[in-house]
Amino acid sequence: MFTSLLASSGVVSDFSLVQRLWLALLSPCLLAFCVLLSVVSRRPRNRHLLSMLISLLDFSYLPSVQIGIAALGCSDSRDPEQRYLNLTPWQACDAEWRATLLFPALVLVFLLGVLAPVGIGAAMWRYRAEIPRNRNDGSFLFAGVFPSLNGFKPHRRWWLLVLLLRRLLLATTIAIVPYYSALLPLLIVLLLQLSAVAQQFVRPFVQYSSNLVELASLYLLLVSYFTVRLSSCS
Amino acid sequence: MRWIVGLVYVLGGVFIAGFLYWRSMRADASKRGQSALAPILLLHLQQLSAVISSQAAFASWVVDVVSTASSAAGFSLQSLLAIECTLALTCIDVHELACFIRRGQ
Repeated sequence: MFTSLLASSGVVSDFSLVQRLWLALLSPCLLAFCVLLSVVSRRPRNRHLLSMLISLLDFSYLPSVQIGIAALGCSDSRDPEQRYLNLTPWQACDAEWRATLLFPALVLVFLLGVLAPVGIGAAMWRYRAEIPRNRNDGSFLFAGVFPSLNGFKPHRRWWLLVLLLRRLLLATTIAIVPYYSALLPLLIVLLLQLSAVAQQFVRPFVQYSSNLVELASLYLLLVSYFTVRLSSCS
Repeated sequence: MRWIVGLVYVLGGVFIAGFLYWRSMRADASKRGQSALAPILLLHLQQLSAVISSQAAFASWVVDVVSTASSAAGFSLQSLLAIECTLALTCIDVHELACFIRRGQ
């Protein structure tokens, strides 16, 4: 069991970039389709299922969007004749890349990087009167989203969108900025430090411990990044 | 070997889905805001994996640490790893390796 967990990186690398890209595209689409079916059915007993599907959609967001942006990040320009993908530097941005990777990557980035934040932002604006309510007796869809919002203070539930944008920015930074550039650590530090400052000022979660853990998580990310960076330089 | 990894992934997915379902039912019962510790932890792990994916040498560091621990336990971890993972054992940065291969072509 222990070894299998370690070898997972080897197994995952057995999938080609195209396969991983299609998997990253299909997983959120399948979940979104199931959410749509649950919303259309409007059965009260499906409310918990809807809530679970929305949470799974939330958790699948970062891995999926990261694969999509990574497939577009042709920023490895050390070879003057040909550009390569930054996170998978064995993949050249050539005709084969345009034929196999570009289209699904563009669709994935459009759906998750543009449509999802805009859609969630618009929905939060549309239902801004309903969102601060403490009881989940609103619409069927709101009742499904409620467990994801219940950890936030009623007037700070829009912070969900901030968390989404932070994950999107992190994935974009890592995928686009060349790994050998000095800009990468600077941008990561800037993003995490700004997030920590905003978290400390806003304190969006109801429970004190949740706010504390979120802050600790951000600084732990920062420390982890530099530990990894130093270990790779040594 | 792969089916064990697949099984671990499936079991992990089922566990997370079950936990989220239980959390949804619990949200009904609580009138006050509930703890957000579990989602914070899950998102933290995701962000951590995203951050370390920019530095491939981290894998070698993890495998080094676990190899040391496993040698004390009396079995060879390295023999069970896939070729991609054993590359990491030699501390070759995957980016450098890709450049090396490109130069060779």
